[in-house]
Amino acid sequence: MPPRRAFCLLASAVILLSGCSKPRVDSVEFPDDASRAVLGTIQTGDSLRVSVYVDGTVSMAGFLSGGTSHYVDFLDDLESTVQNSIRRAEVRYFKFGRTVRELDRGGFRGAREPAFYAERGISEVTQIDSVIQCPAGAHVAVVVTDLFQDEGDVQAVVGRIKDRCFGRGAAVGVLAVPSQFDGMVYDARVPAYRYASSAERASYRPFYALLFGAPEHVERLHQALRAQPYVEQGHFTLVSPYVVREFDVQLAKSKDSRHLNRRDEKRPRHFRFDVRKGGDGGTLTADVTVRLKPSAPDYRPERVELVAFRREGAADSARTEDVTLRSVRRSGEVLNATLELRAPDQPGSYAYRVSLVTGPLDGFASPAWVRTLSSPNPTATDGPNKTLNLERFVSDLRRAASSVHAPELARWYMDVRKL
Amino acid sequence: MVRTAPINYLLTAAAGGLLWTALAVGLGGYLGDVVPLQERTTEEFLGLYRIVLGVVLVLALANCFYWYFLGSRRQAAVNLRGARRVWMGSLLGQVVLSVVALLTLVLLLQAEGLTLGNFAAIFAALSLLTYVFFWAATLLASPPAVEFIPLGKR
Amino acid sequence: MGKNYLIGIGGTGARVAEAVVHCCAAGMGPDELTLFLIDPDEGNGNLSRTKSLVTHYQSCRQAYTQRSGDHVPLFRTRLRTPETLVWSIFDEKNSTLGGFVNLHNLRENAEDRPLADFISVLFTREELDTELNEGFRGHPSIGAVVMATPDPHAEPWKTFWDDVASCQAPHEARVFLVGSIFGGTGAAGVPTFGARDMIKQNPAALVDDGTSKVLLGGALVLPYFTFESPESPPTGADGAPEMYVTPADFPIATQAALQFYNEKDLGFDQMYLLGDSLAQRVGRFSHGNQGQENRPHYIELVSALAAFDFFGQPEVPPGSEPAYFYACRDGRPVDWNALPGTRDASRLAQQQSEAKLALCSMTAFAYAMATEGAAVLDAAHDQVKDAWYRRNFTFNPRRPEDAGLDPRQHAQRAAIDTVARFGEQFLQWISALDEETGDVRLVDRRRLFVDASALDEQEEARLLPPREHLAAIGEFVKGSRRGPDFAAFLDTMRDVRIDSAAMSPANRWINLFYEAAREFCATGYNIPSAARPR
Repeated sequence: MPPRRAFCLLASAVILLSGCSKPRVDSVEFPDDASRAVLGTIQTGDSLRVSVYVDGTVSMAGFLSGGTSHYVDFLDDLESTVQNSIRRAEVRYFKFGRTVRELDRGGFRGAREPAFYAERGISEVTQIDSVIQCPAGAHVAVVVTDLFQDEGDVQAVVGRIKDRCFGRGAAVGVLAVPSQFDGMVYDARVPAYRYASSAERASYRPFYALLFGAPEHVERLHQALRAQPYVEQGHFTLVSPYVVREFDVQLAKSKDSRHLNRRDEKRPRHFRFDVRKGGDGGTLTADVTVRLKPSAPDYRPERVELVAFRREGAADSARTEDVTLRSVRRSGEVLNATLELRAPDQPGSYAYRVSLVTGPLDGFASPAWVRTLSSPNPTATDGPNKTLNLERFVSDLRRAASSVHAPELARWYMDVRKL
Repeated sequence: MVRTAPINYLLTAAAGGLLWTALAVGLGGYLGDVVPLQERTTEEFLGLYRIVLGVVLVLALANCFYWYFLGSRRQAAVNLRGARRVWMGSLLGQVVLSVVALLTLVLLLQAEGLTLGNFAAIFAALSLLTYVFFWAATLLASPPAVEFIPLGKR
Repeated sequence: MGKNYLIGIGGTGARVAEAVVHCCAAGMGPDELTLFLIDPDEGNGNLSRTKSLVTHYQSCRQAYTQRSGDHVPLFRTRLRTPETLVWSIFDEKNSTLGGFVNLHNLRENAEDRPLADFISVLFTREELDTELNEGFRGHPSIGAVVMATPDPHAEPWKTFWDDVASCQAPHEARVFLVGSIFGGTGAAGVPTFGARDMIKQNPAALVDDGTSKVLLGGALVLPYFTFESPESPPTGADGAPEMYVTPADFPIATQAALQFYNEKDLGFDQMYLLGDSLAQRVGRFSHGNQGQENRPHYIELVSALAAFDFFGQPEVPPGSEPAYFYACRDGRPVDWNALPGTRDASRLAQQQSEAKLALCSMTAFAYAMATEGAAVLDAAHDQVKDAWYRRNFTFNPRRPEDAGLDPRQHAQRAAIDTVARFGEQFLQWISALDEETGDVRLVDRRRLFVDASALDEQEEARLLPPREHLAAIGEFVKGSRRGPDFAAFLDTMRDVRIDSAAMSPANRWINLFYEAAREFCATGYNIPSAARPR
């Protein structure tokens, strides 16, 4: 065969062979909103409106404790703390009990006087639900109260919070500030009893500042309030759709998944796999590092669930069982999860959005301080300075928030090509 | 004309490039879809595969060019026995190269779980780029003095 | 077409004929040539060599039948010989002059006694009684008598006169006599056959109007060599001193001969006078027979060139004046530019170049055939990877139907060997022109043959293996720039294209080697030619 003809044949064969390789199918992808979905909004801007609702019921009078107490300090420092921490802060004051009434500054300063807590028409009943509101935008409502709650109250309040706050994506922060107390303790199951704290900090009785608003603003306000030492020494828990400060995901396939191959992917939290012919998937191991917000309660790993959505082609995504959670184990900040991937039978490209979410029921453990400060039945002799049903309140809050939007611990994306 | 420099050099290089493209892209695409990989990603495997193919091609081309250089020297026609020894040695060397390249890949991919069939396909590609390529190129483009040295040339 | 006749007379004539045959093999001769020799000394080494060469040449013509083109002049001349190549003059061996003229009977017959006495006056007892089977021993007068009446009905004269009779026009037959001016047979024969009534004006040679059909030319070779004289005069079996010739006799004999030619009204139309003053040694003394085998001399080549010039000249009108040609050298060295190739001065350079190319090509051809060619044929087909061979001899040795394509096949190999052996003889001849003094600068023997000192005494001369002496083939031409080496020759062979598919393997083989040799010499030695091979 003449060399020239041989060369032309070779070139033709080469071109044909090269063309025989499968063309890369355009992958269908989910938009990467993992940060926002898991971490929430970080940016807060430089302005904040704060509406302070002071419980004006008689049960609050004991916190005055002769005029020098952390409660008094809190009220005194509240505006300045806010003003100092937030560039453009606007603070409004309200008094609530049976009804709600706006106060001017002078009226707010009256909260340091016992007469503040004896106003007729307000001081008789604490109707917290009347001040439960999660304003939109850069606006946080601060409800300063002693949080008496019986079961019915808890249920009602939690329900109101769920509707007005959690349902809108807002968060609730429960700030417990132990304070000196000298007065009558109402709202317990037993008749009111007198209680006076001593110099021992352990004898202080906590008051609560409930912070309602967008999660980032609630956190921001708490950060501002922490400037005060008595607040720092206090306790705070955040009931929010976003409990994670940062997270990272490393995904690998198990060695026995012979029909599953990993592909290169540079983007963080994105992973690509091929399911080869003859197989339908395989086992994946995920090492998820979750760093919770300091103010978030700890999650229960055994309650962690996996939620996966699949998209193919131009169609909308749909929840799928293609990716399931086989087991999860926690080691410090790292969750080691074993996943099963079962790709559809039809060859093609599939995009998955996978989230590890906290369990909607008991997904979180109660913070220790909540248990410490809570009592199902405080009496004069048994936990006189504890708060009735605090734990119940906080756990119900958390459950209510999770029922609306279970916080995600991590989210990642997988492109799977079924060959 | 095909057997004269620099035409034979250029055509050989072009043919080698085309062949590499076909095997690296064409066969590579197929291999990327069928080989089981435990540790490496498909892209890492293909990168390794293509690099090895590229290295053996470069060595095969170098061998071809050396042959062309030898065959175009003035004394080439006088010592055809020596030339035959060089050509056979080169062919054997290319066979060894293909085996060494395969073993290298076997070692590097031993944790991946490739099957015998996968390695057979890879060896076929290595063979095409080494001793088969060398034989074909020298068969078609050897300088005139040593034109009939390659096996099978009539 | 006219007839060309070359008649070589005596030992010199035989050696010139040898040179003519070699030059014809190289393609320098006319299209056709008839050749015969005259020499009573049948055992003469020169004669035997020439006879053998002529036969071999004709065998080569039978073996090499398909020329690859007009640019391949190899064995171009159709060389004819009469049934008898050599006219040995005497019917009986050991004839004497006395016996030839029947002196004894003349003496016995009273009427013829005066004639016998006259003969006794003209010739000495020695001359009358010496056996002439080894020539006339430097006594041309003896030869003049015995050659004066050749039998026109006996070969080779019968063929000669038949050919002359077949000619119609004046000067249609071109007859060229060659012999030495001195010595014996040549010195007697040339003037004898040059006499007007022997050939030129022989009644059998006349056209109706009295003009001759024969254009008669001759080359007289003046002294050109020397040999060792015997230490003591040779004697016969009876102890009586024998006739012999020595180099000392040459000048006297030459002078006398030239005088004779000047005075005698011979029938030559054109005469070439050739000689050399170098006095090349050509061997030991021998007054004849096998012992007289002298080494070839370049003058013989020059004589051959004179013959070709004679045969190749334009038509000569009847009545033209006789012409005499001579050539001189400018100096002591005899190189390619010193060879007199033509009477036409304007064509001299071209003719010299073509002669050089023809002889060098033949040399390279013969050398390559005898060495590389033989080696390739001795190897099996599959073992030969040379491109020139593979391109031209493509067949499957395992297929019986391809046997005819193999140059190793018996008949093909025999044909190739015939030509190759002739080539070896050519190499011997042309290398022999080279001499130790270095005055003859044509072909360097040392570049073709293994140094004789490296051989055993009985060992025949061996050619240098070209693959071990790569430069040799590019250096054998003296006086030329150094040519390329054997690798280049192989490259040249590779590039030769023999397009005829019907050509036999032997012919293809021969053509291939020749075309390569010619191209190699033309380009490698830079020898211009009017017609280069395609």
